[in-house]
Amino acid sequence: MKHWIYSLAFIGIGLVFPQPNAVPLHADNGLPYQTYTYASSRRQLIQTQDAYLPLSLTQTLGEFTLESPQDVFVDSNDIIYIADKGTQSVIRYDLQTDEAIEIGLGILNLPTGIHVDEDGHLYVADFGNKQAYQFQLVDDIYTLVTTYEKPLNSPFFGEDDPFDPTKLVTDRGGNVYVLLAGNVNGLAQFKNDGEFFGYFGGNRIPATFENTVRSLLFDEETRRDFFQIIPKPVYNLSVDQSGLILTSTKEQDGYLKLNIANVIYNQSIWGFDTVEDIAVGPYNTIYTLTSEGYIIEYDPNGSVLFLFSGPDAIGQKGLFKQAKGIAVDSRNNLYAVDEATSSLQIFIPTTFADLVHNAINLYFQGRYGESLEPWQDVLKMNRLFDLANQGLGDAYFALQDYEMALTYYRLARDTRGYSNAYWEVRNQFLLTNGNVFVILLMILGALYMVKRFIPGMAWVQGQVTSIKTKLNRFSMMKELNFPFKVFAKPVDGYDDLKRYGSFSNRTAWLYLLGFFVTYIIWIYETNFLFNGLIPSEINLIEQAIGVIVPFGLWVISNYLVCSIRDGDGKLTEVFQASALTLLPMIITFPILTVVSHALTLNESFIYDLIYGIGLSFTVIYFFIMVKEIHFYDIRPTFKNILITIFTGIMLLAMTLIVVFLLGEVYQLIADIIQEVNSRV
Amino acid sequence: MFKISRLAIPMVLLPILIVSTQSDPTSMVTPTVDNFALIENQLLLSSRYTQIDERDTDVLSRFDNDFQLRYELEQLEFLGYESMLENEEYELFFEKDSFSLILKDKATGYMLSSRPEFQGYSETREDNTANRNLMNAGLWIESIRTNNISSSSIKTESIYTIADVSYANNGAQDLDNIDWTLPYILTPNSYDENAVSVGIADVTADSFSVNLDIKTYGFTFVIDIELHEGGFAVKFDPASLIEANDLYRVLGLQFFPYFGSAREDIFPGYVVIPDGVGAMIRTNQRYDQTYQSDYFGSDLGYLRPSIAELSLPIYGMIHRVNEFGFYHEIYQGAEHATLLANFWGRNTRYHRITNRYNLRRIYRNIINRAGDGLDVLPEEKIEETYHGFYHMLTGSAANYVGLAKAYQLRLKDREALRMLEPEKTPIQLSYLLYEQEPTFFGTSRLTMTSTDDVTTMTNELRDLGLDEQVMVLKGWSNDGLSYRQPYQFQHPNLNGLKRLIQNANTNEDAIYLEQDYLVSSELSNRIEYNRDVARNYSKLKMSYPLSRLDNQPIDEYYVYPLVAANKLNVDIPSIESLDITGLSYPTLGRTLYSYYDDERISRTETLDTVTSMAQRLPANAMHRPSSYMFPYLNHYLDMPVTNSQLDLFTDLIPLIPIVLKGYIPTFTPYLNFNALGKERLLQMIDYGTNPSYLLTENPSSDLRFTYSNRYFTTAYDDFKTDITDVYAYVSGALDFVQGASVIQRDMLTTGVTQIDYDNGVSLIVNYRSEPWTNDGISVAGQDYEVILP
Repeated sequence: MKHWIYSLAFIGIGLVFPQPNAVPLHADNGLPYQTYTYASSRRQLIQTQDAYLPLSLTQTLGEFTLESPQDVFVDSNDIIYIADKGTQSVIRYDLQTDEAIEIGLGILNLPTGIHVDEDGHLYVADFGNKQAYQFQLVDDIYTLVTTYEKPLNSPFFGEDDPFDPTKLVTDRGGNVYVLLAGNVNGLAQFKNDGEFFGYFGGNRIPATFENTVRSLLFDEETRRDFFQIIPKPVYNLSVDQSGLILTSTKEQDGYLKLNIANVIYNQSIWGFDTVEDIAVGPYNTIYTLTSEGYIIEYDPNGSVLFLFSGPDAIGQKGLFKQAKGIAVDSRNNLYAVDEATSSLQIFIPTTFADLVHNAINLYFQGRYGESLEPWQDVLKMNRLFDLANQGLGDAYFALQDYEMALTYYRLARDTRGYSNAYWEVRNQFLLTNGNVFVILLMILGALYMVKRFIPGMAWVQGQVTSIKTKLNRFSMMKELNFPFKVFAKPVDGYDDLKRYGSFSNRTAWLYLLGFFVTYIIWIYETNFLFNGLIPSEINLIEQAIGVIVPFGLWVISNYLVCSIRDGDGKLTEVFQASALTLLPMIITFPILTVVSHALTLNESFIYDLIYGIGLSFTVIYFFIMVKEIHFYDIRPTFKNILITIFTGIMLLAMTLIVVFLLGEVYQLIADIIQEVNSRV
Repeated sequence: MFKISRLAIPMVLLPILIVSTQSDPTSMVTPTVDNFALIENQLLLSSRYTQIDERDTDVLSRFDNDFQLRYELEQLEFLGYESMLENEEYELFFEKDSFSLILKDKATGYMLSSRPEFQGYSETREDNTANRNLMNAGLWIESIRTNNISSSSIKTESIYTIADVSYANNGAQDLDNIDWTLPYILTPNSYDENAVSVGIADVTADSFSVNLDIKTYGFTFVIDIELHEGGFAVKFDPASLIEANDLYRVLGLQFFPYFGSAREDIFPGYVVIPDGVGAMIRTNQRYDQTYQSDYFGSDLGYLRPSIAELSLPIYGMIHRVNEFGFYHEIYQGAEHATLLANFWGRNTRYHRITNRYNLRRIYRNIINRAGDGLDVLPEEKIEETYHGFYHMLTGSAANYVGLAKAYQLRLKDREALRMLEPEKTPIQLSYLLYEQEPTFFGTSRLTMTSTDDVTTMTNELRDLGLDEQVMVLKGWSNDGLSYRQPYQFQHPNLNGLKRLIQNANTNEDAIYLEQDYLVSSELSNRIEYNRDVARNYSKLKMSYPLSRLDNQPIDEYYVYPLVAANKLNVDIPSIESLDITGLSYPTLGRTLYSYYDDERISRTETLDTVTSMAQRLPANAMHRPSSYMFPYLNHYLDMPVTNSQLDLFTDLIPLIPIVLKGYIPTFTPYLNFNALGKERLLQMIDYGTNPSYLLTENPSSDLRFTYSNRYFTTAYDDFKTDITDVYAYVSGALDFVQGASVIQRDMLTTGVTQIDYDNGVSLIVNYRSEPWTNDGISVAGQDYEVILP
């Protein structure tokens, strides 16, 4: 990503993430939706093999009919529990026996969240009763044993503070985490016996520039009351096989996985900001269901494996009208409830999903070598499945086949894996070819001695000098060499440019072109370890605009500003001096490009250092250039540069406003024509 | 290994021969995790499979004893019916005031009525007069006031509604003394003849005309009823419609909307809809849902997108499987008809299915870019005649197979089906040759497969036993593939292409070039936005962004059909010089839209244009073509795997495959993207569809940065073994039934299907993971058996 940041600094182009639309497609396996995966190598969703098959849609479980299901949970015995606020109960359904029982009748009012722990104890969050409950199976009857309610005399809860439980989970220690609607402090933590002991997992205020400034200028009360700077309340939660808590928040993408220290352990790399429910599968893959009905399955590290399903317009199985909850059983079958259709939908994994799960199971246990074959099977079914390429890279790396590992890491654009594999390949190369380097060094040493002690070499050197002298007779050659002189003696150099016209517009254009060409080579050819841009997505026109517009704005603004602030520089001088000052970057870009292919991420500081030196030289010489061209002192130079940048931004803004207004005028005329046309 | 073992099963009545042809495709990916047995059972019981027919004797005998419609002649006369037409099979009774009709099968005495029969049976009052007026009349008129055009102001009325009739009783039956005529008895003189007047004219031996005068609205028109072999037909010529009152206009007509309707859960049958590959809704439960879809896809000229695909202009209703039922076929005017079905629920006690013939449709006149505008009704109405045929199904033909066979026979009689199936199982192999990849300066050509590679692959596969290849070249032009159609007839290696075609011709393989003249995009080199992209009725360009999650920022263009036809004309010399079999059309066979080009052009003209395009070449391959293309179709590609999977569908049935089996070879969507493993192969054997693959020489990862990255697995090296294994497995069954038609398809039990062909061969397909054994026949889990005569 560093390269991308550099590019942003230079050309200011943003990368836009895809925003989804929902349109059912005819898929190859006759499903009402298409399945996608997120290609990290392209930073966008791409189609993949269908992963889940919608099995059925049912409104009745055993003898009970769903009325308004709110949440679904599958316990370790693959028994399904559904919280239904319409029936004011929890329906427990055994898929194997097709038997269902109702739990909590007469106790529950608006059950909205359920959880079953390893011991089979059922926990229910009841929004209507403002309480959460624990039921245990006593003599084959679910009996209420513990109530979790608003703590009295607690510094965490004032008398007026609401206590609206909506969801809950337990950890391995039996602690109960109750999610309270709208509570920004996080999840209320209770001991299993019902004693409240604090909050966990609350969201933090995002560290945006705006918030940072406000935090410097205003106290907490003002920030909270006036600017409404408060963290977003957690919306739903789940717990993984290791007992780590996962949370999702509306208007925040995907999910967060928290460790026991209440620190983000990892998070989804991509996702929707409308997550309605989270569930964790038997292989620690994570499922999110959005309110629109999209289901995403993530690997344990948060990479998107599959995205499928979606909104339903005409009553199709496998899609949702008002998705509320999702759960997964030990065979990766998914169970999802829809409040609008009062139904439970079951999705079963396809052959492809089973293959991916098998590979992931081995992969995340660290059994990379064993995962080789499953990943190959997955890849055969989708050559663009990045996780499979990455998995194969890791498998070959574990088997010490670094060349193969490089191939797959490159396909997945996995910088970490590629860097490690390349380190090994390079190391091998150096070990194998070390003697060649020694011989080369000896030859160079010998040549140096030859040059020094053999008189004939002086003649050769003389001829070279003579050619240089002859070339320097041409003004173009002189001008091309002139920037090097400027960099040797900047004050004199810029003075020569003003007094003697040692540089010309023609050569300045050539330098600008040189800058553009080297820049393009840099963004196109730099190793992807240091380059966030995908070559095939680089648009020449966009890049040209990205280089020429800022440069042009700089030249014009600087000239305009100086002309009213006693600057001595003419427009051509500003243009020429600015162009030749790009020389450090013209030299730096090719060096970076070449060096990037020899480095791993471990030596990225070398890349950064070279880039930093080039950029620093450019900035410093721009400063000197402004000072010398306009005959300023140090202080006015600073002012001048800042005002120039501001003016450039204003010019750009004005231009955009004019273009926008002209566009509006054009659209107005087009609308008039369209209306006249449609009424004739 | 491909092995055939023959096992003679001694049977007393009929000795049969079972051919065990399973060559397990070992290289095919098989599930690594078994699922719960109950989940598998749920899957087999889901609407992705055909279910076993009703076998509960109580249900069957209740229908047989109490609910087979058999009015006495006196009863019919009492209700005002007259015997209008008669032939050897049927007698047709008609009651003119309500436009009601009863068709009597003379052999069985069974009657099909246009009214919802057995009203009042639940002993509860069914006396909502408005509902009764709609139910008891066989003609519904949708009209609108011209000074208030909006979708919400459309009025749907029956002629009883307009005549404002009332009833002499509340319609409830006394179960001890049932009188089925009771609900129809009107209050004397309640029929307002100043509002509606119905007359009968031009009575001949096999037809009569009904003259309707809807005085309230100033509409007069004529509907013809004809008695044919197999059933009766309704014919309506819009030219007969006179709308004398400028204040009212007709939008559509529904003929016999309750014809053959089934009450609640009394009828042990089902409704058949040609949605996707075929859908069934069993009439044994309450649904509370409706179904509505235009035939031949939605008409984008009106911006009415729909998901369902009805490629056949038929529907059916079976009252009792293998006893009674009917199907309806529109053989003229289907492009303007909408299939409507209502199922038992809050608003109706009946399962019913009918068509609406749309004479006009409201469209929105957009006047600015915000999409604001007004609803507008075109003054002109469509001119095409509606001609719909009701065909009674009795005995062994009263099921979806009989329905498909009857329709197949009608197509054959009209020479719309040709016997083109080869003797050996064909395989369709598409090859992706070139694609355009974005580069610094626009795009550059990416070679995925050279023409010589294609020749090598086809020859190698032929050596491995794949003799009957149907080749489709995708991305064969300089233009590449995705979104760049219609492609220019410029090939990077013309000589190589000619050698490839010559090789295919030498081996008598069909070879098609994929081309699309109708649907294009902004990336095409041959389509100019202002000149070629059609306008819809709102006069807006039919340029629609692809709304997909993979965010391909492309605007899809729908081209003026005449422009498309002209481009084909331009290409004809090039096509002929290449000596290919023909073109493969992804959209030509299934895309029909009305459009605006100085005047409003109806779908019928588009239909005429596209069918004339199909006639320009001696052979065509098409993706999911509608029935109007069958006469010009040589290879049916991309056969739907399911239907639109609506919640109300109870079964999946191979309606289209049965119609086409024995005539036109059909191919499943590319098996490269088969995520379901063996289930898909078994379905192909069950449905008689042939395998299909998309191949490239280079790895599909090369397509990563192109618009074709949806083809994410195509490399020949990856699929070579799969192709031969799958082909051996599938052809092990289908080789025995090439050129044969399906005569019966039965569910032996949940997940086990037997398909009988007219050459005497039967296939048994077991979708279950457990083996199935019955009467000495054993089929392994997820496998099939061939039973020879």
